[in-house]
Amino acid sequence: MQRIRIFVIGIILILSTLACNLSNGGSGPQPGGAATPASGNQPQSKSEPLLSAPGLGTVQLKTDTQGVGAKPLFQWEAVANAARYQLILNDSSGASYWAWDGTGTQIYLGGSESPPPADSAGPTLEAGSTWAVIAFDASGKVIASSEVRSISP
Amino acid sequence: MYKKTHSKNGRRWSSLLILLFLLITSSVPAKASPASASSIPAFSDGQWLGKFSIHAVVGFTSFTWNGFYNGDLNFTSAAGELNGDWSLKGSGTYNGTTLNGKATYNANGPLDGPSDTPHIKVEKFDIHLSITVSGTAVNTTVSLGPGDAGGLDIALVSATCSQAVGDITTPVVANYEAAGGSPTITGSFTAIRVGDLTAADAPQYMQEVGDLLDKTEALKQKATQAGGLDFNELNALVTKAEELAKALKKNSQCGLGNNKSFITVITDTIDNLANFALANPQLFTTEELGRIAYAAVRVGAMGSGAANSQQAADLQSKFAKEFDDRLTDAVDNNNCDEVTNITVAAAAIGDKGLIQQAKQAMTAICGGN
Repeated sequence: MQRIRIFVIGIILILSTLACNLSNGGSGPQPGGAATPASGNQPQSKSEPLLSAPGLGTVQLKTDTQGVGAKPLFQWEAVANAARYQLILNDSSGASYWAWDGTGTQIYLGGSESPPPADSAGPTLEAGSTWAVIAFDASGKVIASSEVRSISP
Repeated sequence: MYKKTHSKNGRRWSSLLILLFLLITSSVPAKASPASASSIPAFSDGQWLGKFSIHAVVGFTSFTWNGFYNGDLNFTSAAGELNGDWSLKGSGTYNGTTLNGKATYNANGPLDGPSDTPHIKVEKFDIHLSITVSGTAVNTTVSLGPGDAGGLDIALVSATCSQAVGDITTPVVANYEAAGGSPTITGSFTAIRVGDLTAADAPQYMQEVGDLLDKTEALKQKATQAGGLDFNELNALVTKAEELAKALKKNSQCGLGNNKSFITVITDTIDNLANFALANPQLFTTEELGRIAYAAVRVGAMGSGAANSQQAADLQSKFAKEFDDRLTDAVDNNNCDEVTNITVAAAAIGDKGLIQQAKQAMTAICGGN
């Protein structure tokens, strides 16, 4: 009976691990990318990488998928050897809405490093948007890409 | 025609008259290029403060004029009409076989016109010349009055309720061409509605706006004349523009745009830069062109947040064509890095067909999933 319990617990652990891996896009740890941190809201991402090619690392996105407000803080894990990042935010129709290019690993919508007033001019997040981040090395070569992740206010 | 206030040598008046004629005719009114027909930008009601910045290199038959000037506007928009004033200051150099030297300029006058096309008129235009004409030194101050010089229409390109950007380059270029010059001119115009400023110090805010315009114009002029682009500087300027936008309230109550639309004080400047790059694509790598595309989306010159959707669609179409051409070459050359850069750029352009093609090419060439 005890062997059966151990066997069942083992199966549950394996299934849980698989489920967690799938919910993260199935990508698993990638070179240059750190583990995805705990998040208040599990990503309901489309789980599709923006770019996919052998040798390309993964940019791990950190920002929650919902409840982030009209001018959210986009955050991602640093990628080894990355000299800069580009971020693209698409609206609910899939059209490009806002973009960013810089060296940091977080930026508020609208390009600020500090929280912008909610009623300030500039872009505003709409429900059903998606975003992604690409990492470049110092020579301008793409070295990593994130998934395309959903985000809503 | 003009009033001479000081002159050390008047023997070369014929040359000077020609020079002054060129200066005067360069400020006659010209019809600006029409704004977007689908979304006509205009100044919403309220008090507005504006800035413009112009760099110019104009080649004439016997000399080249290299000048820079910037200015301020202060006006009110009410019931579809504008009323206020403007001023400018600047300097320039003259280089030629028979004419060399420098000049400074100060001008001001009233501003009026319909709320979608501000018209600036010259009330006073002082030119301080220190030149050598055929070997003869001429130091003089010339003051032009309302009868000597006309004005200029500025065509608004994009506007939200609290911000506007316009095209001051086209009418200036037209004027210099009409005067027989071959101009290379870059210019920016922007204005903000004072009532939407959350920062208390409007003069300080406008000083920062003016400095930003000047620096962005200088960057653009450098790119257009020497090629290449300092992206660290570009990013710093765009960041400054975004920081300035934070001090303005989002306001869509006037009916212009919607809550989604946004612009910055340098949106039109970035649009100009992007159009220059697309007209001279050989000067830019695919990665660089992609970064310009990202900058265009970032400032609301392209993408679904653009206040001028027609202009944004035009820019998107040009980018898509250029990257489509480059994709063909990259596929022919089996160039994985190039295909990858095009895929990144396609994401900013938002052309779903191009994105699909680029991703398929990545799979085929780079061996993606």
